[in-house]
Amino acid sequence: MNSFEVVNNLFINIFNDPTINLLPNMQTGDIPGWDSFKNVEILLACEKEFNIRFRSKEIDAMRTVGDLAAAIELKLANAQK
Amino acid sequence: MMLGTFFTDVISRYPKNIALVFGDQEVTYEILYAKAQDLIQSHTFSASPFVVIRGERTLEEYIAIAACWISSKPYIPLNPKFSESRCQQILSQLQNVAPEQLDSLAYIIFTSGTTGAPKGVPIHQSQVAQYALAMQKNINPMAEDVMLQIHDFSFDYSVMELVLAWTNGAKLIHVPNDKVVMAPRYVQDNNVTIWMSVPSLASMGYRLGMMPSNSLPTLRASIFSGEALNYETIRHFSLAAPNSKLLNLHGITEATVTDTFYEIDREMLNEEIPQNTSYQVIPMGWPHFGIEMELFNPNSSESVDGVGELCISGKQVTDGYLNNPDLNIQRFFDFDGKRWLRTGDLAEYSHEYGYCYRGRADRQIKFKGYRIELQDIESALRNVSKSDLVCAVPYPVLEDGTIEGLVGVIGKPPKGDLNVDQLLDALPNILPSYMVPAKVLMIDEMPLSINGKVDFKAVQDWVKARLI
Repeated sequence: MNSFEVVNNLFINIFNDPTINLLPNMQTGDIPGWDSFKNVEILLACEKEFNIRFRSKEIDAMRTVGDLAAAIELKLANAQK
Repeated sequence: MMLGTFFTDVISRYPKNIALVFGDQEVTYEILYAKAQDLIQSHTFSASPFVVIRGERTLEEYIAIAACWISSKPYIPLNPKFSESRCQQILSQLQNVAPEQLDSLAYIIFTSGTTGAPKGVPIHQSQVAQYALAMQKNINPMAEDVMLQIHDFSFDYSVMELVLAWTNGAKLIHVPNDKVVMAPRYVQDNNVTIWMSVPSLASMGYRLGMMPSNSLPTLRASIFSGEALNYETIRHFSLAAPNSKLLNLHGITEATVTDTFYEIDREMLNEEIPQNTSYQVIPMGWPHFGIEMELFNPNSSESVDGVGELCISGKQVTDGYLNNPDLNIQRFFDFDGKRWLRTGDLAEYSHEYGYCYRGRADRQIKFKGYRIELQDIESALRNVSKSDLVCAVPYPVLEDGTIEGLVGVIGKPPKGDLNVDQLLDALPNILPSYMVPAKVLMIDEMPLSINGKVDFKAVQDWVKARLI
């Protein structure tokens, strides 16, 4: 499973909706109940799942699910170096 | 002293200090000044007697506010969350403003009126400067300090953030609107030294697991204002920020942001439940430099002992609402040779704690012959549910206004659930029987106002729709 698929599963758990099928350009508001409060839950769930920590500047730059998955990939790649 | 003089003095003393971090950009005081000057020279800026800020919190808007401070031109902040009709109501009120009314104003913030029509609160440059001086005495901000800018420009809490940073040469970190709940992370990554927020932001951070013990060690002062600060919230925060002074301030837009100061005694926060009833809702303390306070009967200009309406006099109090003589008669009165503002907040004075919050004058109801403060019920709901987002609603209410029952509403915690039956069992231990709500309802998302406070009217409508 790649990071994007893992993120999709996290969304399914958080929103309790097995039909969620994320697209890279989706952002806050695109799923009912997806607000800034849920964003924190999503970010914290990703941090726990991938054992990473986002810096506030990285969080600043995230707009879409694609940005989130890319930031995760980058963190994982850097960790392997 | 004018705000512009204050600001330009800071710019000349700390030109290389960073005034604002906006994403990847670090804007020093000298660059902020240069950009503000460019704007001041532009035709659009000079042609208008005031500057309307759309409230997106863009870098350009920060520069526009700096330009307004420097050139003594008022700004009028809107908010993207305002409806189109609210923006139009505000803009049309500005059409009827005479040039002399704008003279030396710093800003006009529009707050919600009870009739729903926005009411303009004009605040002078000298009043903001007076506020800056009072905050210097209380907080002693320094050029080395780092603070977050998280509040909307249409909420005067943003004035506290801007004033504390920019009249002292300190650094302000912009937190984007949709990341505000992540404020603790911004504190950690930027070594923030002064925290400023409404209490509900701190309690959200805790409930989301972002503020474990000792997670905010860089904070040296933490300021709470904007709504009642309850024991649970400040206790958790005190553990997360072990090196910080903890301060509770009363505030009202009409008296330039905040007007009291209370330093919380950490010793009083040791136990899970408050050992002293004065700390169930944290005291507001004493009026700060340049402010006078008295308690009056909410319906007359008669001074009272015990619980009364908190009224304010002094240099920070606005000259009056914009073109609204009827409201000015309701909210201002003369007593003892001074002009007083009614805050609508009830308080009681204690020699030990200063002014202590006792609810809103307009949230007092009569039920079964008893006079009840809905806030007292909310305070009990907070204690038993450990949730900060609670609301007590009179329901049902007959057409003649008679209240036939009470309902408690509690925001659902993000994780787990609350047992309503257990809550209802616990309430009679802390509330008189006539104040115990007949029902307690859980709400997935507590309706909040634009400023992040519980929207009582929306909760009332939700209860009605739910129980009809």
